[in-house]
Amino acid sequence: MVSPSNYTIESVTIDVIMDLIKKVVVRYVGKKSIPIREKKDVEMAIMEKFLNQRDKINASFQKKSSVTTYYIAIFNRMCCEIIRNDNKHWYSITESDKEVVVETKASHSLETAKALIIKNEVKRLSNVLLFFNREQSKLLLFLKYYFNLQIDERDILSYSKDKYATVKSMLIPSDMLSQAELYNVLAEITNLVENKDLKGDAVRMWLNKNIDLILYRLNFNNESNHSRDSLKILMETGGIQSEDVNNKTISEC
Amino acid sequence: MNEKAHFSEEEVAICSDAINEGKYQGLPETFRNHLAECDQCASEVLLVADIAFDFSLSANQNARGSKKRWFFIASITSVAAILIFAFLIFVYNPWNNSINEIALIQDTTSVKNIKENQINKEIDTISKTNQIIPNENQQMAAFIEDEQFEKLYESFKESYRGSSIEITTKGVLTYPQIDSLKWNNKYHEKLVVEFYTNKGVLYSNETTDGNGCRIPKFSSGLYYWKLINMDYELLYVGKIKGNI
Repeated sequence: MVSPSNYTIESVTIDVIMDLIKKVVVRYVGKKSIPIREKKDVEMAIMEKFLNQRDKINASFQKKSSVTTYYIAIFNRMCCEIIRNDNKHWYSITESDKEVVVETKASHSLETAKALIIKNEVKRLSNVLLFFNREQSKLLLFLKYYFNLQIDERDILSYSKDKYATVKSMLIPSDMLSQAELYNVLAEITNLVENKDLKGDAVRMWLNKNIDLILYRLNFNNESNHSRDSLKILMETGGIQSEDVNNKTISEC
Repeated sequence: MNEKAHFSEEEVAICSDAINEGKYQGLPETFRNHLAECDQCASEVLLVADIAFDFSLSANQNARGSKKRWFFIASITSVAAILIFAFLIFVYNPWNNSINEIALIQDTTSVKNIKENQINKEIDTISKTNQIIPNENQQMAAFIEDEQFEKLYESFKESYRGSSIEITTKGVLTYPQIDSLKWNNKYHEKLVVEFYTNKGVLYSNETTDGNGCRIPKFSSGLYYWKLINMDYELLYVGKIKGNI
């Protein structure tokens, strides 16, 4: 079995391509963007599109990514195009014509399914947080403080760098503070680390904007339906930590 | 790339791979800045990254499953081979059977040899027996008494004719324990001693004027001896059993 990273354009078989198409389509079926009765038709339509454009698609590939990920991106856009074109037709069908989906016995237990879903969502959240770039460490620390979650020393170090000890002493347990006091604490930390002169209100606006952005990106394209509460649960369950410690240890700060 | 333009499919793939491989910070700054600002591309990258991660998981599971299947098949095959080999060794045992056959052949051969030897022995035995039988017959025949001589012997058992000769060795003499005949020949008469087989055939004779004579070499058998004077008078008939 060839590892996905070891596939080449020539080694990707029709079976692998079909597998990729199915994985893309099932995502949109799960989001109800594609009715389940249309699933196979959409898969065949994507395969037909791909076979018609295969040479052009392969010629555009510059080998800067893995070929399977490249194909996934291709098939995703094809699927979105099919949804845009056929969406109205799919949902113009009356209730009586709708396919009755018989619930089959789950192959996994409910707990296992829940664990898998949570694990997947935590991974998505981690990926979303990556997109905040330099603000990632600050956002993660502030989110944990805001949601009264356990703050790891690495989270503090990643943002505060050489001001670790002082910042750590400033992080009073947030459940003892009011919202205003909480934002004031975060403002003082921001001013200390970033050498700014911000008020608590500025931190509140910044933090709310980024929370909304996180939720927006998580829920984009009806991928999920997260809220602040579920975001808190994800962060608490997933134990998300900052990765940017710049190779410094706590003792060095 | 233009930070305001959306990602191409391959750029989406590049970012997705970077996320899955934990190398997001290694992406070009333009890519990262665009993802920070463009919700659409960020969502697309997230979705593609998720699907790609799912595909890699299933590919690894299939590889493990394939390996497991091959390992399972190899294990079953090995166990089956061991069981068949053990069955052949301990139950059916074709090699030992061959060996047994060889041994059997050898045994058979040796048996044949033994039998042949036995047969030869038997033959020898038989031949020896056959040899013994005629010898015994001969021996038996050699001791068969002669009727005529028996009558004469009986008549001279306790008496003898002639007054001048007194036989010392009377009766049945056993040769070679007794190797001479003895009498008392006072007057040194010339006497003739004749030895006969049990068939009445003259074996030997001897003339003597002494008081006895040596018995000639006899083989096993019954012999008679006559003592005769010059007057051709039969003075005595005795018996000698040659018991060699």
